[in-house]
Order: sequence, then C-alpha cells, then structure tokens
Amino acid sequence: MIKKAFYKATAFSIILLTFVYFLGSVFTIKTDHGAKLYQGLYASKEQYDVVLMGSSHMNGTINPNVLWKEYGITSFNYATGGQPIDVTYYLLKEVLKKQKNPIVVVDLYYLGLIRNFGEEGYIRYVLDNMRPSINKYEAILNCTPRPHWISYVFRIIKYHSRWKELTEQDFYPDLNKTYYAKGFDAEHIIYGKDNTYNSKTNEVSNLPPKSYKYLYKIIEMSKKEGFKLVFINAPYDYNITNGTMIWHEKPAEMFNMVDKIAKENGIPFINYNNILDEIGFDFKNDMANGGHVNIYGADKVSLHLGKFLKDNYDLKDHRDDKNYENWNKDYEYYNQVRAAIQLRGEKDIKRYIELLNNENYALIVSCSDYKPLNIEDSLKSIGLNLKENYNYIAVLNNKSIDEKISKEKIAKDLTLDSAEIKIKTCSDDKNIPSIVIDDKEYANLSNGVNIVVYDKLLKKVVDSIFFDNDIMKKNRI
Amino acid sequence: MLFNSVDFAVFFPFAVFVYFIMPKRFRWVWLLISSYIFYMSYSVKYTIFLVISTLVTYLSGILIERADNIKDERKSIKLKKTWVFLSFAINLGILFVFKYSNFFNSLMQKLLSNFNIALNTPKFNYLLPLGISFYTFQALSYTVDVYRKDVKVQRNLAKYALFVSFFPQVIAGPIGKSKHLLHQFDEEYSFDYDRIKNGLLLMLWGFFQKLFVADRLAILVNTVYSEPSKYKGFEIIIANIFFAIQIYCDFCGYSDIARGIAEILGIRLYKNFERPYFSKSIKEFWRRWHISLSTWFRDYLYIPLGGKRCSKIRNYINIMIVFLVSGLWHGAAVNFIIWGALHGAYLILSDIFKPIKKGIVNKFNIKTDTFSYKFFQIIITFILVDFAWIFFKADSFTNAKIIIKNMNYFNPFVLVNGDIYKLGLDSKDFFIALLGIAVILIVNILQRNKSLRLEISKQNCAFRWVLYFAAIIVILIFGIYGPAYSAKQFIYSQF
Repeated sequence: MIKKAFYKATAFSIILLTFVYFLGSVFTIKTDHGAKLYQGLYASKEQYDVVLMGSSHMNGTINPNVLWKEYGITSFNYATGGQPIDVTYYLLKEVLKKQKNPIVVVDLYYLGLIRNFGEEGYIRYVLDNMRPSINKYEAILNCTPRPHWISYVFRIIKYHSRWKELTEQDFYPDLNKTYYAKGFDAEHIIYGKDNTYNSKTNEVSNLPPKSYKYLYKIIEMSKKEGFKLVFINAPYDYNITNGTMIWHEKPAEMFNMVDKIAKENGIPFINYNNILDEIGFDFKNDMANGGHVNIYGADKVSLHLGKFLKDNYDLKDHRDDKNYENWNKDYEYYNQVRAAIQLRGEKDIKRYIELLNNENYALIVSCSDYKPLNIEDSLKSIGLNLKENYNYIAVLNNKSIDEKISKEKIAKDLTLDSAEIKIKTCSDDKNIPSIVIDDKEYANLSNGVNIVVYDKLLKKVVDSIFFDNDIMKKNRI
Repeated sequence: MLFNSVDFAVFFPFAVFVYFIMPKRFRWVWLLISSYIFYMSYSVKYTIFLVISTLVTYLSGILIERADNIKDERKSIKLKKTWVFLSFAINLGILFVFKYSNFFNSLMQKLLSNFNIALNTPKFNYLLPLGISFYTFQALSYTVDVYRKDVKVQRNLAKYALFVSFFPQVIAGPIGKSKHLLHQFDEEYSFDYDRIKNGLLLMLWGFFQKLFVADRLAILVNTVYSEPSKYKGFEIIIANIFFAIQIYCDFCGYSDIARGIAEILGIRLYKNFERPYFSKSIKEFWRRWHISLSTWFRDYLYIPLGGKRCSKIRNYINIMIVFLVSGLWHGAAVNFIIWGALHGAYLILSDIFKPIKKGIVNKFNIKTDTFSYKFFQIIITFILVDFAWIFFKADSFTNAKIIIKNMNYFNPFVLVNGDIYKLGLDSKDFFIALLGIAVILIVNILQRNKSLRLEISKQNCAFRWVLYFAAIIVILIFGIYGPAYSAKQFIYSQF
C-alpha cells in the first residue's frame, strides 16, 4: 500500500508542480525587462562578441546597434533597471551558459547600494524571468531575503492577486517585440540641467561589503572562466544619491577604489564621469535626467566604448559577413523605430516637416475646406498642393503623389502594402476629415490639414497630426 | 508556525514522513517531539507554561487516584476535591494572570476612582502565551475526568504530555477531553491510504474556508469596523453578515485543518462545527457552534453548577454564569462579556417566552413543520447571533454603539451605485466573495445528509484528481495570502 501511495503522491505532485509553474508564468507581471532577458538568454541563438551587464545605467547607455553600425561588433545589453550587483553576478553566470568567452562589460553604478538586498521589484525583473536552474535557485538564496524565497520559487505566491488584471498579453506575451534593440532602451528627452558635481578627488573609500564581495566574485569568475572583463561607470550626477540612506555617501571616492581594484587585477575601468569632455559629452543635452544619459548621450558613450573595444581587443568586423545580414536588417528597423520616436517628440513644425522626409514613410493627407496656413511653404516642400476653400486628399508614397482636389466631398479607398486605407474629407458623423487604416480611425478629431504617417518598414502608423490655425496638434494613434 | 505558512509546509510533511517510518510503538514519542518543536517555534520561553499545566494536571490525576484508595470515604472525597481545586486554581491562576489581570486591574481602578480612591498597581506587560486558553481547558478536563472516573489515570508522563501538547490542536483547538482523546495515544496507527487521503481533503477544505472565504470577507469587515462612524445602513449590514460568515469560515476552516492533520496521523478530533447557521434556535446554535468548547462548559461548569436539575431561577443563573464565563474566555474585555450576556439572555428569554410562542402558534394555526416556518426560525436565529457578533467584533463598546446606531439607515442604493465596492473589496473581489459564500452554503446544505468526502471517493480517479487540482489552483489563485503585490513595485523609479 505504501508503494502505491508513494507512486500516486509522486505523480500528483509532479502534475501539481507543472500546473503551479505554468500559473506562475501566466501571472508574472510582463515587463520589457522580462521580454529582453528572454530574447538575450533563451530565444537568441547567436554568439555575441560583447555582453553588456549592469543596471539601468548600462541599459540606457551602451547601444548594441551603434556598436554594430560603427564597428561591426555584435553585442547584447542584459542590463535591467535597479539591478543590484549580486543579481548581476548570477545573471552573468546565466548568460555564460550560452555565450562562450565574450568580452563582458559591466557598469558598476550599483556598487553604491549599501543595503544587503536590492528592491524586490527590480530583483524580480531578473529572477522571475530566469528559467528554473540551479543557478536561479542559488541566486534566490543569495540575492533575496529569506521570507521571500518561496515566492521566487513559486511565483504564483507573489502574483496570484493579479487574477483581476490578467490580459491576453499575460497568456500570449509578445516577448520578441523589441528584438531589434538588442536589450538597449534609452529615453529621448533632454535633461537641460548641469552636473551639480564638479569636484575632483583622489581620496578612496571602501565599497559596501556586499558590493565588494560580488565585485570580487565577478573578477574571480573572469579569471576562472577566462573571459575578458571591462568595467565602466556611465555618466551621472554623483549628487543624485545624496541623502537616500541606501547609497554610498561618496561615490567619487568609491569609484577611485574601484579603479584601484581594477588596476590590481589588470581590468580596464572606464569611468566616463572623468572623461566627459574628452568624449564631447554635453551634460545638459546628453542626459535624460540626473541619473541617466539620453539617446544622444548614449550614442557618444557607445561610440567611445566601441572604439576602445576595437582598439584593444581582437574583434572581427562582421558588417560585410553574409552570416550577419540580419544585424543590418535589425539596425534598419531599429533606426526606423528611433526615427518614429523622434518624430513623435518633435514640437517644432518646420523641423517636424523635415523629419517627414523619410523614405519609409507614406503620408496620408485629408483636408476639408482648406484655409491658408503660414506653413504653406513647408507643406508645399513635401509636395502638398492645397488650395483655399477646396477639399483635398493626397497619398504621398515613394516620392510620388496621388492627390484629389475638389469643392465636393472627396473619399478614397486604397491598399498600401497590406494596409486597407479609407480617406474622407468629411466624415459621416462629424463632417471633418477622417482617415481609417485597417478599421482604426486616426483622424476625425478636428478640421484642418490632417496627416497620418504610415511607416512601411514598421508596418504601422507612427504618428497622426493636424495643422489648425498654424498650430500642430496630435491625433490619437 | 501558522498552518498556512511556509515553515509549516516544510515541518508537516517531514513530521508525517518520520511518523510513518518509525516503528509503530514509538510513533507517539515522535508526535510528542514534533508537538514541542511546533509549540517552541512560537516561543521557547512560554513553553514553560505548557509544561507547568501538563505537570500539574498529571500530578492531580495521580493524587486523586491515591486519595481514592483511602478507606475513609469522607476523607477521601475531601482530599480528592482538594486536588481538583488545586489543579484548577493553579491552571486558571496562570491563565488569569496572563489574560485577565490587566483587565480586572483597570476595572477596579475605574470602580475605585468613583470613590476617589487611587489604586496604583503595576501593569502586567507580557504577551499571552499562545493557545493557553485552549490547552489549559484540555488539561483541566483530565483532572475532572479522573475525579469522575471517566478516564483511567495516565502514569506515563510523556504520553500524558502529548495529550496536552498535541500539535494540531494546541494553539486553537478543537479542545480535546481526556475521556475522548487520551486513550487514542495508546493505540497504534498504521499507514492507511484512504484515511490519509481523507485527512488531506479535510485540510484542503479548511484552507478553502480560511484563505478563499474568511480572509477575503475580513478585508471588507475590517474596513468598516476600523472606522465605523464613516459607514451607514447597508454598508454596516453587509459587514455584519460578512463577519458572521468570516468568523465561521475562519474558525471552522482552522478546526478542519487541525482535524485533517490529526486524521492523517490516525487521531480523531472533535468536530467543532455542525453547520451552526442552520440552527433554528439559539439553544441549537450552541450545540452546533464551537462544539468542543460548549461541551466543555456543559460538562465541567454547567453540570457541576447544577445544570437543569434545580429551580428555574437557579437554572437561569447557571446559564448566565456559563455564558459570562464563556464571554470572558473569548477575551478580556467588556465587549466579550456583553456578547456572552446577550447569548445568556437570548436563552433565558426564549425559555420564558416559550409558552407565549406556543400560544401564538396554536392560536393562528401556524404550521411548524413546513420549510417556510423552519426557514423563518433559521433567519431569526441568524439575526440574533449576528447582532451579538457586533459586540464580539467591535474593539470597544463605543464602536459597537456606533455600529448599531449607524446601522439604522435605509440606503439600499449603495448596493447599486458602486459604494459597496469601496469597502476594500472591488467589484471583482466582491463577486468572488459572494461565490465563496455560495460554495460554503451549498456544501453545508449537501452535508446535511451526505458525507461529501465519501461521495467524492466513490467517483472515478480522473474526476477526483481534476477536482483536487481545481481546488488547489482555485485556492492558490483566489486565496488571500502571501506578500502583497502592487504593480507600483515594478515601475522603475529613476532614483
């Protein structure tokens, strides 16, 4: 009887654990960090020349697409927001299961954390998205407080109350939607403030104990596994962590200590805060906030790091290698996404119209009863021939224009790539311009010149605006 | 460690595993060890009181038996009574010091201050040893049972210690009586697949009642009771109905888990609740609510006081004493005394008005053997019980008064205008709460003439397993447990 009970209990437990694991996956909150770790750790079959590790500072600073475009280096950015150094150590171990002998670049901002454990949410970005393995369980034991252990092993314990907010995305998450960014994600906004930390010091100050321990663990791992290690410290205002109680009080001195440790171990350490001028970094315009560089700052730091890697390591340029063709395609796609973000963020009308000059864009225009605008010249420059008191429809695509002009209401249906487009100068409900693409309305908010920007590479609408009384306003997209 | 804690999830399977690989005659030793580990996981320090209670009642048994052998009957009875008295005095003394000294002190101070006398007694600043109200009563049952010769003296101290400390029940019952429980530890239990399965099933049902229903209802109840002046009418009525179901599911769930655990080990514990809200009178309610405690009071307090075999007045006094003591047992506060007094009053009044009720029934020719009449009785009983719960739940007499005052407001519109979803349970959780109540109700109805566990065991394996998995998953998803989840935690704040 005991034998039978044992078999039954084992079968029952296995089935139950399978259910519980599946439930954990469904209920776990879906973040961009989770998606990119999936891409970099599990979906990708590539061997990267360089792997980029660290917290948000790394995540938004080193852009693999820039390293590719400028130097033909392949890389992936595994950094996640608020990632403590102990988590970085275990994530690196996870990365190295697949990546053989890459150059490992680690941003060391998070050495400053003086608490024993990082923020739960930030730890979960990483650990909740790691597949079950000995390494994952070791990470749980060492990077999280004891009472939390069980809820990292069985994620349903943490996330079960999400039953109310589950969406289709939780069951069928689109984990590959940001594949082209190779893990990189930076803000496009401009900080506009100066660095408040201007002093220089040669003093050194000890690292918080846990940071010290894990920095050495990473160094030892590199010696044991034989991979090359590069430390960096991305630009940020050292004063932003002042008074937070959880951060090293003197980051500049701490990084001097890191410099010392790096030298002792023969590891290059690039502290970008000490060479801002050298790389032409403009703090006001190249930062998104006091802590993080923006996309423009990221370009500058990435260029510098790429050159440093190229000059100091034996890295092949893969740009003309047929096997790496998808990297060129991904770069184009990435660039187009970046252009779209820039377009949406542009507030100056003239510059906006200049940005519309992109070979991947098709512009769909509808206007009812045109009243002359001051920006008419700009509109003309992209090929629109509006006439006072006339209704107007145009489709600008591949530098050619298909337009209709009339005093009567105009309507036009067409197919662009595979998108079904319906344009009207007077909508049925509001008598104002309407542009419907694949059954979704992108205009119909206001009179004036309505322009919908369709990106043929991204295969979606990237912006929709209208000009009314010389003011540019946004339609919903 | 709580039954719904990670520690227990590790401790319990281990304890059971070792229990069954031990030779049968030593299994009780392992149970004793596990029980002390379990109790000491709460507090090592306070284990001393468990030990004292065990030693005192153990000795009382031996001394009573010895006194019984004295030939001089008068002397024998006198000595036996002395030992019973001493056992009660020491046990209840400890209980009194921990649970009631502060309460009676402040009561005395208030009383004396009326006569302008200041009384300065030191405040007793110790936590109540966990489960002391339960295990003290369990241990005392032994003293009386030996005195009444309902049970043989247990000479094996270790085995007796197991009776007092048995881990499934030591914290919150069901309170075992020695005549029912003690001999069970002398028996040997083999590994019985069906019994273990049944025990696990009972535990599962207990967890459902506790995590799915009770703890969810508690959110709304606590919202209203923490600031009663903010709420009115139906908001309070719903909170009160929810509390009645919450306290039932909480306590019955706990008892079922305890019984399930014991059943796995082979020990049969009292059924503590017998669908109490289907009672047709307060008297019946007390036969079906917290049965292990009410039978304790019946056997060891009500009957010794004279029970029913005395004058009406004396009987009423006995009832009142039992319920006042019961109120005090539940907590050292005026509310609990009022709660007890209310129930005492319900019982006395229903006895006084019995002839009048009969007269009305006869005069209007009311059929009492109909569903509608019985249903009416059940509803009235529920309302009375639920009204008394107000004093049980409110943390002060003032708050209880506010609750009762604010309840008198007719605002059924809060049920449809969305206000009811602002009491801690949003519309989705409120729906799940109602669903939980419905499941409890249906199961209680089905339990009337069927053993559900037996019915389930008759089904095919595939159906049973689907049912088990579904139940576990439903509890895992909809149970109220674990660390709080907030999406905010995952929004990366820049600094």
